[in-house]
Amino acid sequence: MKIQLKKGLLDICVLASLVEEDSYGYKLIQNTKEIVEMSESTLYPILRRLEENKYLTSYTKEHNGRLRKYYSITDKGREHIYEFLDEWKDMKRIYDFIMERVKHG
Amino acid sequence: MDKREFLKAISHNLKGFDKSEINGILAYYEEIIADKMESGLTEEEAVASLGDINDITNEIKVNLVSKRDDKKISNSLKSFIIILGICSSPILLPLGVAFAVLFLCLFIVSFMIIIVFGLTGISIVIAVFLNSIRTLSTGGDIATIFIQLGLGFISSAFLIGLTMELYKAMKILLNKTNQLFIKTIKKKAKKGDENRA
Repeated sequence: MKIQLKKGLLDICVLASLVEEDSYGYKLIQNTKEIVEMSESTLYPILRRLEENKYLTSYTKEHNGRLRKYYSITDKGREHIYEFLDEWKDMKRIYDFIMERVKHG
Repeated sequence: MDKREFLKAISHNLKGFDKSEINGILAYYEEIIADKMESGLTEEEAVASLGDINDITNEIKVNLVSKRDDKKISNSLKSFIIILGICSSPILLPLGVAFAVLFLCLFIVSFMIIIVFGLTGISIVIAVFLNSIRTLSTGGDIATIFIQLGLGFISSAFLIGLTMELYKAMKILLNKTNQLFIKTIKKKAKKGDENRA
């Protein structure tokens, strides 16, 4: 995907990946790969920012004899996703409007 | 390059930043490398897949500096030096030169203005004192001396107050200049990512 994602969009993608279950750095990158190529160095500041804003929390768990950091979405994080979806409803309507004109034009 | 060398290089490049911040970053990359190795890569491959170390640490530095809100001029100067370091990469070099010129000009000019106002304020106090001693010794009356002293103190208090306000303004100005350039660098870096994609 070549489109420059609107600022904050990646944040939402990462949050959304956590809704179903807690996850960790490497897996988050793998999960979002299908829609956006995200490098490890891009993910780190996003996680930091989300944690600072209390959209997610983290904890460490042992895995194969080492510690792995897991991220878990908070209620505030879920709320943030719903706010985003609400905002983008309008965008979707505009998109449909434009699409409609183009198709019949 | 193996994991140990990679992590060492990162902490070397980030020297001077907050320790806990650096430790968080190192733990993150250590975990990513371990997970990549678990998925089948060798240690060297895992490290290589992370990309260029300078690119990685520059991205981190940009993020850390943009979070800084320098309240002291010495901190603004530190941020200035970090930003110059980031700008030493070939694509950002012209931007770095422009930034250095602008920042130094602002710094010197505001410094000069502050010095001039401050010195004027102080010299008025001295002049008023000397003048009242002279008036006394030549037998001038006390009322004139008090009026002179009063006027002198008011104007120097005004100038010194002004100097302090100017100093505050200078701190904000230098901080804003740093943040402006960090924003520009961020935009440039994003464009670079797009071209690579």
